[in-house]
Amino acid sequence: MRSSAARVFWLSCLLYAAVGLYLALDVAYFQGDSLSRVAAARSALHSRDPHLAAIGFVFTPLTALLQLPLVALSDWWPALTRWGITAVALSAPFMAGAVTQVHLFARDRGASPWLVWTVTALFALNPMIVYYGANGMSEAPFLMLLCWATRRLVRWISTDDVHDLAVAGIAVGLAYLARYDALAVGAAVTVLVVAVTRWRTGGWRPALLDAILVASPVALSFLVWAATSWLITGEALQQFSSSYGNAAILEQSGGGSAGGLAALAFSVAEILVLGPALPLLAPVVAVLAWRRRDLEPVVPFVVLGAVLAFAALSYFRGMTFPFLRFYLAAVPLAAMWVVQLAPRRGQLRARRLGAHATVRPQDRGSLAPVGALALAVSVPVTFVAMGDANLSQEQHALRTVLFPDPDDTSELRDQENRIIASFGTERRVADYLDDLDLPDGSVVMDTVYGFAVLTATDRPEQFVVPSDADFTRILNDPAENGVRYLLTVPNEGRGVSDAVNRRYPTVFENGADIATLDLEIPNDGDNQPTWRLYRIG
Amino acid sequence: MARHLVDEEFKAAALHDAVYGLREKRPLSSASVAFVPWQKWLTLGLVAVVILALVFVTIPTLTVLTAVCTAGYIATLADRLLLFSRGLARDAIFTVDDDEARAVPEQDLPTYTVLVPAYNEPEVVGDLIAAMTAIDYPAEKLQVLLLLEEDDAVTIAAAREAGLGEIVEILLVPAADPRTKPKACNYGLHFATGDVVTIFDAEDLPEPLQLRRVAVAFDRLGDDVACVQAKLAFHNGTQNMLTGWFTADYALWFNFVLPGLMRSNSPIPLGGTSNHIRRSVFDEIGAWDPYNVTEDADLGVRIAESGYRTAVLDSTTLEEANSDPINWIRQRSRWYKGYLQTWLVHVRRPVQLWRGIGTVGMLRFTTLLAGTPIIACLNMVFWLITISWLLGQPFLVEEIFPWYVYFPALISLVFGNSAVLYMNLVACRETGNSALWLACLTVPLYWLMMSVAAIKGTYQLIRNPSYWEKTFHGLSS
Repeated sequence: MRSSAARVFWLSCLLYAAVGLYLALDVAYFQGDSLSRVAAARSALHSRDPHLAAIGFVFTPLTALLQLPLVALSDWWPALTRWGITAVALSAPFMAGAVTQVHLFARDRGASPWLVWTVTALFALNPMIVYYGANGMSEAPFLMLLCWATRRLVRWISTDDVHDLAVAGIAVGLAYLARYDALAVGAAVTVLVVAVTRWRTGGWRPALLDAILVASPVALSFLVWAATSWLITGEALQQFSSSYGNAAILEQSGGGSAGGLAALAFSVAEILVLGPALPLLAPVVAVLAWRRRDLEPVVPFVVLGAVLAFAALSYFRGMTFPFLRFYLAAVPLAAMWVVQLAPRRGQLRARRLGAHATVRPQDRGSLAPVGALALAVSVPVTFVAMGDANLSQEQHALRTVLFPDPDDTSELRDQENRIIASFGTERRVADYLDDLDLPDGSVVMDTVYGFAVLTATDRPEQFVVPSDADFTRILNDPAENGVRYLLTVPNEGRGVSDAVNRRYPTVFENGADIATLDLEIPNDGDNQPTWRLYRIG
Repeated sequence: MARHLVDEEFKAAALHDAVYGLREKRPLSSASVAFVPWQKWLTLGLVAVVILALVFVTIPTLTVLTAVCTAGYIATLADRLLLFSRGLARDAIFTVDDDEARAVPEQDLPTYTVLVPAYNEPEVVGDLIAAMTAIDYPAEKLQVLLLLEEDDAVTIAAAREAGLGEIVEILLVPAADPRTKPKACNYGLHFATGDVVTIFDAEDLPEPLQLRRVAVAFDRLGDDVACVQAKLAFHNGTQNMLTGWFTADYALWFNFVLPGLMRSNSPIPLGGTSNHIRRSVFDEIGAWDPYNVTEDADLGVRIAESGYRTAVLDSTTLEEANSDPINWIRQRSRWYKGYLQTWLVHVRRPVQLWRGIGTVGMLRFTTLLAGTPIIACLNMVFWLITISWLLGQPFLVEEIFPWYVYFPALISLVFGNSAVLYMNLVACRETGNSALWLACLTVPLYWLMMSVAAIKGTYQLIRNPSYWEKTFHGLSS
């Protein structure tokens, strides 16, 4: 069992790493959020003013923190950050971990080998899973931790082993450090555990104690992260309050929903294209679970369903973007439910069976082949949907990566080409500045858009960035502080939050009387600003 | 037996041996001197060096000190988590099920001596009768010795009045200093007839099959097992917040940390009672040290050092948790002092100790016996530093915590405290103490009391090494 899990892990890790390296090095196609985490890690280690807090508090820290060891090597080998390789090195093993958990989940169920391997393969090869294993985003660790929590909670249903309960709680706690959505999972899981333990023991106190055990890791993550943020920046929840936070980004760049039925319909559509089998699976799983008196299928519904519900609700309330990846949990949900069509077989081995462990009933009959077929059909559906610009804003450019068509001159093709070209301009800006061989602290820029310059440069020390302790002082009097250039973006859209624009609102237009235009660099990328390099004085 | 009791010469010899036996036969194993000369000079030398360094290179010295403390914290925490994890496996503790325990024919059971030392506690006589009548062991193979100090008139009177003599033998220990439990037990040992000897406190309530389970354990485990330690737990966990904390503390220690130590082949500091020891082992390695205020922990280490093992048995003796904070602090300060005494005694011959328990065993013995009290003392210092840092972020704190100390210290503070709290929660869940959830969440207040006790105990080790802080029993009734 262990060796087959290890094989699953290494094979899928290899696959995702290979795809990731192909996209990064050959196509040079990046997700902005992935690259910006690399930049955060780099500014913590290799900026003018290296300090861990430079990692930033707007987004949770797990992805950036875990990249630190590799980013540390970027001083000698800048390609690591320039091509976002440190991010791929993170997402590939994590997504492979998610695949391994799905594999072990099927094993725990006692499913027959053909089903174990079919579900493992269909999950591992789902195009969204492959892409998010390859692109360095925080979805990979998040999904891995959720699958881990789900598997351990399913075990806990029959083992009552405190190991299972604690590991599930810790996984959710860590998941919060990857994505804020884990807070919803934490709440849902706590309710589930209270209900199960109350039903099992007939007492509220054991239920309360189990609730504390499963909820305290995520509560600790939340408190520690908020407290750290508050101690260092004076604000506990920057995601919501900061001018760089999600709320502000939505306001500046638009894209939030108008609410109402349209928003709900969009969420449902996103869930459906990621898990086309779900409408079929849900009623069948429910009926089977009822007839078998099988509580296990409730667990994936609670853990992964909480993420989907949270995503749908926040989109409905206009608090977030119409991104397909927010519904990624639908993929493991479908895979796990297919497994749970199969009968429970065998007993789970536990390190410490709990006082309320139960002998696992052995069910009969199986609709798993039908489920596996539905899952197999889902893969092409998801693949096609990923190429759709409306359903899949962040992924549809992959269509052009995989099936380029130089004869197609449509606006959409053009946009996709620009998306793929994104951050190439920033790399050239970095190269240009590197060639000037400037002393440390010569160029002031904000990382709102500048993050891709920061990852690409050979010499991050030449930049003055907002995470530097003396940033405001230098920005107030660039000339006095040895600054030679201001790297500016238009004061519109997300550029409004750019610190240089906030201090000198007309700097992009006219240099704000402190600088003269040296260079204007139009951007090849989609949704990326035109850069203007102003010389001080 | 009757002959012994009237034989004044035998009594005098027994008393002399009880008080001076260990000190005369193995002077280095006795805590009658807390610090032997080289230990004293080394300690004073170190203190002098630190003071000089503090005067001349203040900031670097403070930085080094915080770095060393942080490393100690992290090592102790990591080891405790490892032990806990090992102890959490269901099969970590040695288990003998009821049928197996009852099945042993009477003729195959070893002869047993139960020592019950008591001093000035007439109120527990009733409990003792109940406990001893409940034990499932053939009467002809069981000798129970109630050890009372000769001049303890109230307890003697209470025992006689209750007719205790019918169930147990009352053995009067000649009045002599030190008036400690180990001295009484050593004296009792001279009158013990059993092949296996154990100690219960007078108010203890051992699980009735415990002696039979121990007999099976000794039979099944190898000859190198010298001692079987049963679990201790409290019957009054819900009496007040303090007994709740104490119960959670014991639940963690006896159910998980001790089995973890057993699985790691590390020295096990024995609990105060319910440790069942082969008689022959005493003759070989000596008995309890009357000058050590945690003679049980000391004996546990000596057992390991001599190449023997201690097994932890899944059988519970119920005791009464200390419900009074002042009394609790006295008791805990004695334990901390005793742990330090024990550590000092056994490091006197480092090479011999290392041969006996190995490198890992030695590190673990140090984190357990020296680390526990020292860390409890240091906690106070670091809490104050943390509070001052949160309130004012003073420059000095920033100076002595460069990043390579700051981050480990921060992790140790946040993760360490949470991990210990979490272990308490797990221990309460697994021992059916879900009523103590609030005690688990408020346990930092208990740590504050521990810190006070540790400071008191350490101070006393230096000022008055063998002074025995008596714990008052019978407060729950």
